[in-house]
Amino acid sequence: MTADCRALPARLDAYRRDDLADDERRAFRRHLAGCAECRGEAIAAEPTLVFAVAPAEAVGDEEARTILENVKAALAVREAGRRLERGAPRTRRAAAGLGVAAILALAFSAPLARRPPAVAAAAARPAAPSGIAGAANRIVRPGGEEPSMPASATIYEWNPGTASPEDPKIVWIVDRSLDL
Amino acid sequence: MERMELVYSRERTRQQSAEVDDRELAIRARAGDAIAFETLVLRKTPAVVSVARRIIGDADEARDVAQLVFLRVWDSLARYDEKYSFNTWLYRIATNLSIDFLRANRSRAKAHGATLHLVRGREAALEEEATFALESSQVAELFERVSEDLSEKQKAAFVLREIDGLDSKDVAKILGCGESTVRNHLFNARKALQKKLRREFPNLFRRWSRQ
Repeated sequence: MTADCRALPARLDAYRRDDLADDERRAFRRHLAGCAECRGEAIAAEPTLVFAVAPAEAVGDEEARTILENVKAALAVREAGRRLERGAPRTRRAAAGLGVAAILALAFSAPLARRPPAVAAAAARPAAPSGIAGAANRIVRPGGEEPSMPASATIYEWNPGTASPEDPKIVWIVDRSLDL
Repeated sequence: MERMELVYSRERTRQQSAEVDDRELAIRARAGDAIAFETLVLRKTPAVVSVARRIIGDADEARDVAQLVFLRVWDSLARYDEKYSFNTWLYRIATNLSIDFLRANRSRAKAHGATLHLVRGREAALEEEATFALESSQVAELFERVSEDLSEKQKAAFVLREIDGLDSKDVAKILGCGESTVRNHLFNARKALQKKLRREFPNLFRRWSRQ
């Protein structure tokens, strides 16, 4: 039994009143985490300590990376949306026409998939990346209204007419002025 | 060759960012450094998911809220004042969004009727007596069950102060109230939780007292 163990009753009382100084409080919690006997005694007297001394649930690297990728995708989608709202971009990078296309694959939920499959030829638009060129079609909003978008952006359907209403609709937004 | 150099350069920047403290990363991210922001997201995800999980009570929803938190961080970086701790600022965003989510969820639950909770509570108590063991996921589940009657602020105060072990002045900043209010929230939360734990899980605490 250590000095910390002997001090348990007094410190437990102070802890419950929230009267311990911050460093004393941290030391008390560290002691409980490492001493099973004091932990059992403290939890029996103050059951809510069971939450204070339990180890945190682990969040793995893979989970953190998934969250990061989702955040990046959401930011990119939002940026693309802003460009669509604004119409033509204010500045066009000199090399944009020659350079890299920004490609975003978006999985929309069923309600979007139920939109009318109104489609127009993409001939006037920049070519889709190889591999989807044959399936590429431009999406037009319900009611036939085409969204305003910058000349550099095109939306392509990945699975036009093949998905059931319950399946996700996948589209690609290609905006040559975006820099990945 | 140029591409290889570019990849190498980004990798080196990532490694350098990993050694930088949170505040400096936030300053760099605010200036538009995407790698600094990525490093912050990867570094802070465990803490954000953990606090959201405890306030909201559901792991999947906590991950969704964590994503919203980082989006909010990105949007608000221009307003981050580096005189203050980045952690406190981040916790404030995470706590507020979790509270908003919890509030909205509770409203929906009320609309579906409260009796379901009572039935589930009884089932949970019976099941617990036979199978409960002190593992982090089960403690999280136990907290979810017994904390449903706490107000959002009480729950957040308890999570931040009692579970995450933050100092009371930081909890006060995060919740946007005084330290005495934090103490009140904590006192009331502890009282309510204690009552519910003793009533619904009596065997659990008898077992611990024998250890």
